[in-house]
Amino acid sequence: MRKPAMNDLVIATDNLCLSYKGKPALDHLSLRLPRGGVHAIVGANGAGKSTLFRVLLGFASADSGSASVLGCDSRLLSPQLRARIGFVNEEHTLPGWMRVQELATMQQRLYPLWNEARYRQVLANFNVGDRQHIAELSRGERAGVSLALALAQGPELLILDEPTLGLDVVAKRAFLDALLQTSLDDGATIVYCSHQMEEIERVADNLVILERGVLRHMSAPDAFCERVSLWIADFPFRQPDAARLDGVLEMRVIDGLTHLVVFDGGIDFGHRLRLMGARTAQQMPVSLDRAVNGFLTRGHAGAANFSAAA
Amino acid sequence: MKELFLSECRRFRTLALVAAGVHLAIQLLASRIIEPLQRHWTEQTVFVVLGALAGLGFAAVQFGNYRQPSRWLWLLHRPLPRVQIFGALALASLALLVFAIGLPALLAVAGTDRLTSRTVDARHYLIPAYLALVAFIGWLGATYLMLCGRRSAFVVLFVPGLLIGHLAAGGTLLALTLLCVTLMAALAYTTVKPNRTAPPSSPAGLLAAGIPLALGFYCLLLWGGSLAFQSGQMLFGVHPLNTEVPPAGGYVELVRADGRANLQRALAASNDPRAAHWRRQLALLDVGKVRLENEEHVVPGQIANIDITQFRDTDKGIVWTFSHDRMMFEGRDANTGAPRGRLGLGGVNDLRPFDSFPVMPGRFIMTRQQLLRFDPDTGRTRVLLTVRAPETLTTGLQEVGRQEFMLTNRRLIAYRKPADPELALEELYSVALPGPFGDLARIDVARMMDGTLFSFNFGRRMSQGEAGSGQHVMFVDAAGRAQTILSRGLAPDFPLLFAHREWWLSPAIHALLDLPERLLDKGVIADLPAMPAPARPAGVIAAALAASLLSAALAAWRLRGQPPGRRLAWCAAALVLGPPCAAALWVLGPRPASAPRAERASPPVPVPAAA
Repeated sequence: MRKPAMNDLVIATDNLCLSYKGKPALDHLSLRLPRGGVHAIVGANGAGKSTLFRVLLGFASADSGSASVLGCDSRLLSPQLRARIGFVNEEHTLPGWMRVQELATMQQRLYPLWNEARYRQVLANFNVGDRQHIAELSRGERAGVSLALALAQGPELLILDEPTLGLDVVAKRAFLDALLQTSLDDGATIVYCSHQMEEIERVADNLVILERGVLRHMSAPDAFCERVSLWIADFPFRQPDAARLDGVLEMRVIDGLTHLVVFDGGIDFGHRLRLMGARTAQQMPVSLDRAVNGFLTRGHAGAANFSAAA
Repeated sequence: MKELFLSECRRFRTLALVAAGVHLAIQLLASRIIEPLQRHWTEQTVFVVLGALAGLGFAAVQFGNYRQPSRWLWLLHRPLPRVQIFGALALASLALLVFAIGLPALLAVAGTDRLTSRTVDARHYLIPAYLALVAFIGWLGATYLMLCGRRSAFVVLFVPGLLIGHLAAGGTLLALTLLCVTLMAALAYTTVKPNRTAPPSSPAGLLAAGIPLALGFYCLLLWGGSLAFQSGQMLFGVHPLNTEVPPAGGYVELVRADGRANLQRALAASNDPRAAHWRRQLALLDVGKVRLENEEHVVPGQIANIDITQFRDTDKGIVWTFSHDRMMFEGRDANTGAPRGRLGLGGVNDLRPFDSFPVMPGRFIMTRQQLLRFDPDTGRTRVLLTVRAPETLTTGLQEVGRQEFMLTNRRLIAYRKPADPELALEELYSVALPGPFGDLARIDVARMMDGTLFSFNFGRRMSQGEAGSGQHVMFVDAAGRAQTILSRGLAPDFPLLFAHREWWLSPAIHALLDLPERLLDKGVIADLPAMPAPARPAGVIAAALAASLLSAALAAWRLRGQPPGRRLAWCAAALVLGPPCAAALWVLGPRPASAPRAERASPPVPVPAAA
């Protein structure tokens, strides 16, 4: 894996720290996201994802450290640079007092790279009329308008903060289809934050896991899944404290069988289980959802023997 | 910017329409019941306060919504310089406030002018602009409050009161209001940025926010401190105005005592050989007083009325209203509203204008330099007496002991009471005021067998640390020669530091706030001769110095760890401006960071190749 040059990075943070009333939201976060592709940022509530976006867009000041977006200090984003950064949040904040067309016209005049065809193309997925009032739109329709406006700006970097939260299946699919279709065409870098692992699996080229403001993991989702495996062991006599083994993220006993989600267990993990008295030990692949959840659950438990990123 | 402006106008158009309709209805209703344009300024202030509150409320609604993180992001994350974003919001809000506040007021004034025979002057047409600007100032103040993230920043709402609360001529007041708009706009602009709660980083931003905050904290410390101190005094039963027995030898004792007691006390302390004789007479005589009636005259073109501008001739059913434009009264039939001529310097239908706004103490018409009697039967006015500028009349004629007295800002003039009230007054003698007119509380007068005794009681501004307090007893003999019998200073009722609180808290801000008093013509009757500024006692100067040094030390402590240049600038400012500046620093200084944690090496994280 080659190390990207600084001008290839769309986002770069260095030892970024930010606390709210003494509680760290970002804790010495050093993150470098290269240009291109879809970067998914996942983490439990309070992991610092939204705070990170606020710092990156200059809406919050870090206590220490630095952050840059598209090569510019995030505290000094110029209007021209902001034109190159699109943002869609979970609330799909739009002026409810305007009509869809009025809003599009306003944005069109603001953004020099406005792509009307792209706007129409994305909006067509959501069955939204130009004369409709924003306040009268459903949540899914508002999400569509938000996405259409953001993509029509022609952004180099598009930040999506849980954009599908609260959307029904149909709206969610329309949203993701539109996103993938246009982002592939435009070559924009997308930073996508979501709790929905099936979405991440579908769209992400790179997976970033944050936990309480700390960067825990960054790799391609497939690579991450390859490092996480499920071991099912049968201990005939007594249940040993297998959770203490290195790399164990989660342990459950189901129908007398011990289920262990393991990170970087290695090929000799089964041997170690057998040494602990397991009659059988079988390795199985896990879904991204289970892998990330196990990863984050273990992180919350604060196991001393767990250092995933390392 | 234009789109954002239109978007905001569109957003609040219904609210503005409703507000404008309600406002117009209130104006029309008020004009049916009273004559709003001619009311006293205290009544007109209701509209000003309501206008300011409307602006405040509007900003609270607007930014209560916008300051939510996601909406703030939507507003500010766009390819527009923030000055244009703020400009669009501010201009849209100004347009809406003009529509809801200014336009109905203008319609009311224009309607009164065109459709009725009521007197409407050019100054009245300034009222709508003033009201709209006051509402806009309220909007700007509330914008700052809503966005800055500090509750203590409410002190900036005191600042407009310091600038726009002057009873000066309309043009001057509008200029001051525009200055206030500029100041408050610069203040509000400092918070319209992505990280709205972060203190301004540039020197210009710090100045824009720091000056109003320092002025606001000056008011808060001054009024709050004064209130707390006086409440404490009342609690312990030692407040001079709240005790049955006031402090001996002080101003409160002087003004609470009746004239006889004042004269008796002074004569008892006098070495004059006639004092004992006068004391015996005093016990048998009536002691009267000349009261202070006017401290200021109306300034032509004043938006608000500091005096009632109308009087009613009940016999003829005419309401006379003074017109600032024509400098004469305009008559209107009380029943039909039909015009009934004009009343100038010489009387009804005499079109010579008055030289200044006339007040009507009793049966007289008094301008700055002339006292006239108006005879309703003949409709004529007659000049009773005239003084030369800059001497200014301050009261109507007051009769004490079969003599008529007139008080000016230079002297007390005694007149012989004429047999025919139509004749001009004949001056008997005059006594120069032995202290500044602005400090004069009242004059006790006793007609003795061999002349007249006067006790001039000064000390009205004593609790504000002004010099000039004292009691001066004078005797005027039958030939009109005045002699001083006794002069004594008054003991302070309040502690020295309380009396000089406005100064030592921040001599620089005190001087700044005193500028309008010195520069603006507010019609205040000046001291003659002008009194030099009082020398501050050494204890007060030491207090000012200590407050400044303490403020600088606090600033240095608050900014520990900050760049030396920034720290030095704040310390210098605190040294010059005193405690209000130190208080402003608590709002504008860097937010205290959480306890620093040890640097931790970030775990090495693999970075994927460019996708």
